[in-house]
Amino acid sequence: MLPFWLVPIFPLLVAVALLLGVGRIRRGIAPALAIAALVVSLLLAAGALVASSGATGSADSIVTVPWLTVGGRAWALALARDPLSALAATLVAGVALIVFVYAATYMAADRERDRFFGLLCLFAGAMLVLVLAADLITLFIAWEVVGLCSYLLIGFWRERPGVPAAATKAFLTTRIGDAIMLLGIVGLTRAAGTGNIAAILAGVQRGQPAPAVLVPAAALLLAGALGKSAQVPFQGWLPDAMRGPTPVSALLHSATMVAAGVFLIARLYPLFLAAGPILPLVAWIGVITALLGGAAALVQPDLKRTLAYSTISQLGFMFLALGAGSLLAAMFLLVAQALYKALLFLAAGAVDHTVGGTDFARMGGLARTMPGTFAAALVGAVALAGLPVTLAWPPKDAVLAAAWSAGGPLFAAALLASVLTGLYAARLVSLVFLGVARAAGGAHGDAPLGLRGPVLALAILVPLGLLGNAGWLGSPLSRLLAAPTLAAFVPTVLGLITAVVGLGLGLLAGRAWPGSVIWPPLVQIAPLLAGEFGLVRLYQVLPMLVLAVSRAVAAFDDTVFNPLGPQVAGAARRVARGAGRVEGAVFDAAATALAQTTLVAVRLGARFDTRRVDAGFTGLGSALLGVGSRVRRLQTGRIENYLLLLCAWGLGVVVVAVVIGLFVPLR
Amino acid sequence: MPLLTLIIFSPLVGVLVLYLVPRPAAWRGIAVATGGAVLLLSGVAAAGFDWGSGRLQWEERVPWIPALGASYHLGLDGLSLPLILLTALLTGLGLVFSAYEPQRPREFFALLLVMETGLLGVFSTLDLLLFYVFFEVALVPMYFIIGGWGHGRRLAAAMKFFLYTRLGSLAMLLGLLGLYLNTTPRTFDLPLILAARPLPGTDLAATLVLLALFIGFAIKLPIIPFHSWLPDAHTAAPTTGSVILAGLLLKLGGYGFLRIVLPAVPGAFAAWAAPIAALAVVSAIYGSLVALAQTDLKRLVAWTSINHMSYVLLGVAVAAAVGVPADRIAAATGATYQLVAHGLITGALFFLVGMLDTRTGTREIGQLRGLWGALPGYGGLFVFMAFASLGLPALAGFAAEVQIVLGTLGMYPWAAAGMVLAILLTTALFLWTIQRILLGPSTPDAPVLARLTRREWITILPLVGLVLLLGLLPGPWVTLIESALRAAPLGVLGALGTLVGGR
Repeated sequence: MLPFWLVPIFPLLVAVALLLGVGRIRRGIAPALAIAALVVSLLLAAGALVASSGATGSADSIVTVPWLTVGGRAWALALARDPLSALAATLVAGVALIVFVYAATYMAADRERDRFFGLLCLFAGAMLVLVLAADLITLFIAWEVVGLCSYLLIGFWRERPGVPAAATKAFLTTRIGDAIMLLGIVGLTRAAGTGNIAAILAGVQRGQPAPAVLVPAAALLLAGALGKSAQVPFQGWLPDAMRGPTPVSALLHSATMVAAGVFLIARLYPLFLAAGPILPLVAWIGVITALLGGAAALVQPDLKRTLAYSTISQLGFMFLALGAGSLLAAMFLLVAQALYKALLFLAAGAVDHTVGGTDFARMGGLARTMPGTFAAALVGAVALAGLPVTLAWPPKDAVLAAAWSAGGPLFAAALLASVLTGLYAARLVSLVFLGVARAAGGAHGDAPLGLRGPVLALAILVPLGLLGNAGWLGSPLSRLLAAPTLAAFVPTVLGLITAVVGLGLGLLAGRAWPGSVIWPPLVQIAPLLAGEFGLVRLYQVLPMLVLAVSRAVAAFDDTVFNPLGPQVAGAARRVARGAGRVEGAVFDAAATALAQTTLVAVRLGARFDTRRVDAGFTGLGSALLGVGSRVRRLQTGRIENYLLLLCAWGLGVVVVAVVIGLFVPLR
Repeated sequence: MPLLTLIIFSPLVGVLVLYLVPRPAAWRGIAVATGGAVLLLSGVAAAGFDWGSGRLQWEERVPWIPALGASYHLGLDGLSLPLILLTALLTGLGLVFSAYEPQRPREFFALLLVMETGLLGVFSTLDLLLFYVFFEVALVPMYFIIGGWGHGRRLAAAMKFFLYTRLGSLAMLLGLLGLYLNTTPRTFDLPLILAARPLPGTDLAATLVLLALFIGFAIKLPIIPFHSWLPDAHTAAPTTGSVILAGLLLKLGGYGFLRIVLPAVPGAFAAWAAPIAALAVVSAIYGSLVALAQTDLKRLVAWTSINHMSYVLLGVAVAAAVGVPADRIAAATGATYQLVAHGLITGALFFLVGMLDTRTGTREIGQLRGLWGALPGYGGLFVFMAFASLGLPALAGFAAEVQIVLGTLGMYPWAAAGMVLAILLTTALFLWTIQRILLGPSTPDAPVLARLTRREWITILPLVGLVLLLGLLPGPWVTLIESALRAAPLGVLGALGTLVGGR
């Protein structure tokens, strides 16, 4: 049995190999290598999940390599196997494997396919390190490396319009969160003397560090989580990130990387539970994001952008669950969302492949020509809306139950977000698959098997994944995470009702206004929703503001410091003319030092007691330099002269510069 | 075996050979071989070095001017060894890069080698008079390199560099003399001075010495408002000159702070630590803001140097302040690490800008577009180094910055926040630069650009490897530096240890 810490190693090795150009050896070797690495990772991760499912929540296996220890505080590259990390690793490896298989077909014709798979493998490896990390610095390194992969993969088709700006926006926005988060990590490391997560959480159980350190640290960490998971106010980068290839959208920007923020809080959950005022903040940011994402998803003209806003909204539900105190609800939704959103994205890619774009204007009526994809997408959409697609309560009910326990306003907002989810899910299905085709000469059949296969595989996995918390199976997820299930009658019923209402209204609207991408009642407020209530505008203005400030500072620098330039240079040029006079002083000092060196050599020679050499050296020293008398004077203690000389060397230049500058006209 | 003497003066031997051989075809071989020999010898010094002890090693001491208490005193510790290696590496790579210098190659190689002697001397000497002499030897050749081999307004830039440098050297000299005059018995020997603790307090003499040394080294770093020479010097300097200037000459300032100012005037520095930290933060933000507005790629990289070297001063200021010893150690170690990391990363960035300039004939960002498609290897290298410069984890710059943040956060939380803001601005400026010059479609009428030559790959790959190594496994280097900083009397805490209650 291979050790669990090899889980991320295989994808990382393949990444290095592919990025160094190993893929050139044989055509087609790159996807094969990548898929093989992920198969091994998945098997190892699943093995770790089985091994840790009997454990009681704490890490039962850990591997550590020292990274940096300074001033007695230690950071390490460390991986640990515990139920949470094993669950997340299995999920990541599983979804990644399916997406890799899909990408082998999707990217088959791309000129730079090897680089694509190299970057995907780097991402998979880094993401697996992130979820297995046992030390905050390990987590942070992986956290930023997945950000780098996201940047490079969004920008993969760098020559297409809009792509470079989208990549820049994604990395910059998330890095604002990351940089703030680093302060939190450093703060916790200072307090605990180590970056080890288990040690820090053990300290939290003992009431250390004090709230004055703990609460700010939690707030700083939260900023990182919000950035990565595209929560308000960092949500703007994710919709633009859809300009990347669809496998990237499915893997990074819906299923795994964007869930890292939720995972971070889950990983450090005892710390957030202890950080009193932060938890309600998490809940409110989550529910506001859920509402904002759901509303914006209603008016998008593009399939992938709709899915992106859906992801933002769903991640908001997860933050709501965490903030309302239910780790289980958040993780259940995380797993389920990863599966059904990857499914929907891969289906979107299949549609894109068939109709040649992701604009809703090209779609409509695809249910007839793409029955397999339609059936799979329907499973995903129903699961997204929050109806039970299997014999278990959907994860959203668990979230609503948590919100119910957290209070009325939060619960009401969550219900509204739930209605929005149903609405946009129904709108999506109507616009893509129902009605009649809006573009001539669109689809001529379903997508190739290489694309359909992974979609269907996910359509089978979604119901299975949703069984994760089924009561009649003994709630395996609840047992695994040692987190209690929340069951409440009222929120469950209301949750189902809102989902049905949302879906029903959405389907009715789709039937009432076939072919209209924006439903007529929404036309008035569509700009407001699409503009994220002004936030989009704000994020357009902010960079311009920074740039304006930077140009102002640069202009300031030019006016304040550069007038010195010509004058200074002029003075210096005059110095050069008079340099001869200075050189005298310089050479004086140099000569003295050289003479002294010679005398030292002489004295060393004298030790050998070879009189001839001695005489020769002495003669050479005095004759050559002719400064014997000066040296003797120095030797007899007139040090002040020497110091004066030394000073003159430095001072002389400046004085002469000024004097000559005044009297010698510049040519 | 006087290994350090051998290392320091073998570049001069190379210069001698250069001028003895009349055949121009042989010059580049001699220059590169000399650079390689120095690197090899430095490698020998590192291999024979006991990394954990913190002691002075490879020490040499010969009386020089006994009446002045000046001696030819050399030695390496964990603070100087990395800089010796950096000097040997960057000069060697610079010689490889410039091997086919068309204009007066012999003089160019000779100046680079003389500069190398000066730099190696500064980083290994323990005698302040000798320190000053080597400092001058290191700086003067750069004036000729900018003036003789530069572009644009090179004479004006060279003059500006010269004058700032003179002023800095003068201030530094006054500070060193202040130390000398306040030590009894009078000596220029740094370990003896520090052991005697001549200026431990906050009296006028200590403050004046601090002021003089601060101005001297702040000009070299450089810190706002002493920075104005740097962008001009870089814009005018030839590529290798810029690499040495950013990679090594700026390090003289940081090294001076760590080696001399911190342990020599601990009390005065502690009293002024907060304002100096504030100046460093302002300088960092200012540097990145001005860099963001640049339109010349080389000037942009030059301005990021001001930003990155400000972190060094911040680390030094925190190390000087009275506070938790672990914080101060982290800050000082981070500052030292940043010297090396910045040398590698910015050195590489200047090489890359030079490679671009030779192909496109312009450094104007507005005229460069979609280069990644035209030069795939180059695009990858530039992105790698840009991300290293903006502090991506697992690369060298992050390992340095995280230590400085670790040290600063407890002492001056506002400074840590300011540093993070500066890091974000640096992120923005590099992303925007990449977006403008590498991404996007290439111009339709763009000429076909030549792929990187083997010589260029040889120049850049060692830097890539080291940036990765220092980022992935910083542990041993940090231990090396920390052990030196903890050792009395040369180390930071060694001198201050008694003030804060030991290590």
